[in-house]
Amino acid sequence: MSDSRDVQSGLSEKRAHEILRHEFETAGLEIQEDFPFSEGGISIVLDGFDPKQRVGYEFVTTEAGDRESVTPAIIQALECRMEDGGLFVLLVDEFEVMTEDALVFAASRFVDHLRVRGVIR
Amino acid sequence: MTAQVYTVPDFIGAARQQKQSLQSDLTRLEQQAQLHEQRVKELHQRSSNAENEIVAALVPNLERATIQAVANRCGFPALISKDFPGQMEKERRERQQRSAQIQAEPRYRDRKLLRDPGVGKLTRAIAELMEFRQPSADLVKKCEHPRLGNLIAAGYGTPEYKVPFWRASYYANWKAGDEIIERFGEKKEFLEIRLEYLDALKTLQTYDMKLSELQAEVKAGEDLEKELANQQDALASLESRYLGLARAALGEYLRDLPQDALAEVLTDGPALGLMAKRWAGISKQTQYLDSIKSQQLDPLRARIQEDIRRLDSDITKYSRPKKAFTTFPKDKFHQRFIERPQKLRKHIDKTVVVHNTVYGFDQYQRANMVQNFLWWDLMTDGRIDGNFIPEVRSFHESNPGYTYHRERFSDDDFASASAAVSSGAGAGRPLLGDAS
Repeated sequence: MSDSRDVQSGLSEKRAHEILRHEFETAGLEIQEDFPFSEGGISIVLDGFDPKQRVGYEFVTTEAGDRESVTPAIIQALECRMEDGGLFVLLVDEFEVMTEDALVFAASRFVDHLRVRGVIR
Repeated sequence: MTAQVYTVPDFIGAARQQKQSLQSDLTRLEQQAQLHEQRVKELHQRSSNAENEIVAALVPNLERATIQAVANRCGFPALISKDFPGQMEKERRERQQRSAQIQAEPRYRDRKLLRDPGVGKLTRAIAELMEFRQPSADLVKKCEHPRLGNLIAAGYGTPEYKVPFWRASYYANWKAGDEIIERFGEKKEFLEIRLEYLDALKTLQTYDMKLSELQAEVKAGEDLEKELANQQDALASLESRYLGLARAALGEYLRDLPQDALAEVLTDGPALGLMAKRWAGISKQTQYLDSIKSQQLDPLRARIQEDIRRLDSDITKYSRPKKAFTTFPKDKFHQRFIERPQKLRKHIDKTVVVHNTVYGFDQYQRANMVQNFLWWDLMTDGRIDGNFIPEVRSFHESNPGYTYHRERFSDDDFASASAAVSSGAGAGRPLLGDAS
């Protein structure tokens, strides 16, 4: 997802989850943390997911060992499903989003985008 | 009636007094040790000066005849084979050749035309280029952003931009794009900025390539000017450098010669003889002073420190109640608190006097280095036993029949030597003398 690994992210895994959960729940989603998603050959534990609205998020960090489990193949498979509109998972690489403000911006614009598309009410 | 025994209060009183006295002696010895360092440093400088005097007298110039003569005289054929005059001439030729080459080079020859500040051809071309590139440089700077590279690579703002909205980088790019657009004041799309930016980059690349060439030309010319200046400095110092090398080589050789060999080499004329004696004498003074320090001063300091430690220990011991009624026989008491301190004081005084005597010696002209001769006796006028010094002891062992006779080291040579040496010694040197 990202090659900018030389720069240290200032955002911890824990804090990132708090922000994401807050933004998604403010948008009316019912988030379940560490959701085991297994469909169509994709098997992944998502950091947060609303199974009814099929919207969630995954914060990929080295700290959590995500780079071994969230492989390019899994990302590609997820993205295929998202292109079909089957589900929507905000994919956040710790090296792309380095600050709280940036994460709030990304999460809030993402849920806005879904609202405009009619994916969430 | 004189007491036959002393009591604990007598003992403690005497011990404290003695401790105070020893501390004062220790301070004195520590000061003497510091003085020793200063003196030795000064003697090293004087030795160096004396050596310089000798080699300068032996090698007044670098002519081959001079080098030949001194090499033969000193038994130092390496001075000839090192060929300092030859090396010097070789270096001179090379530097003159290189200097001529530089002066003929257009970059040097036309330096004013090319590099004169303000009016030089290169200077003006660079200034012009800097002016032309400025608007592009300003635009590129205006666009600077940590994510600019990502935006350009991903084609942000163009139809080719394919980053999907479910990737956080989509929003990071969006935010970065907005921040850049904001800097332009007037309403602009990022696509327009992108095109202007890429165009400016290309323009800068072209100008900067030319600028690098021009700056390299300027540097090459400046480097030549510096090199020529260095060559000319080196030429100006050529003779003194090689003369210095020859003298240093000779000095190193002479330093390793035994005293009698040195005397043979340098007794040709009173002036040189006196220089040799001064040099050898200063070397001996340094050696002797170091021996006095290591064999006398330092052990005395260690002994006093140990005595003070013992006194402290005894004061503590006899201060205990159970020792209150201890008595001390008069003879032992006197030995410890009167006789021993007196001997120690004498020893210290003698050591200081010996150190001062050796350091203060300056009658180098009285030495007779060709005979069986001991500097120690000359310096101390035969009055002080120097057998604690290995060299002195070894001399006596090798010369069992030797006795010092003052009159054999007269000042007969002094008059002619002092006339020959314009800056000779001769005046009495104070005990804390300054360097020659």
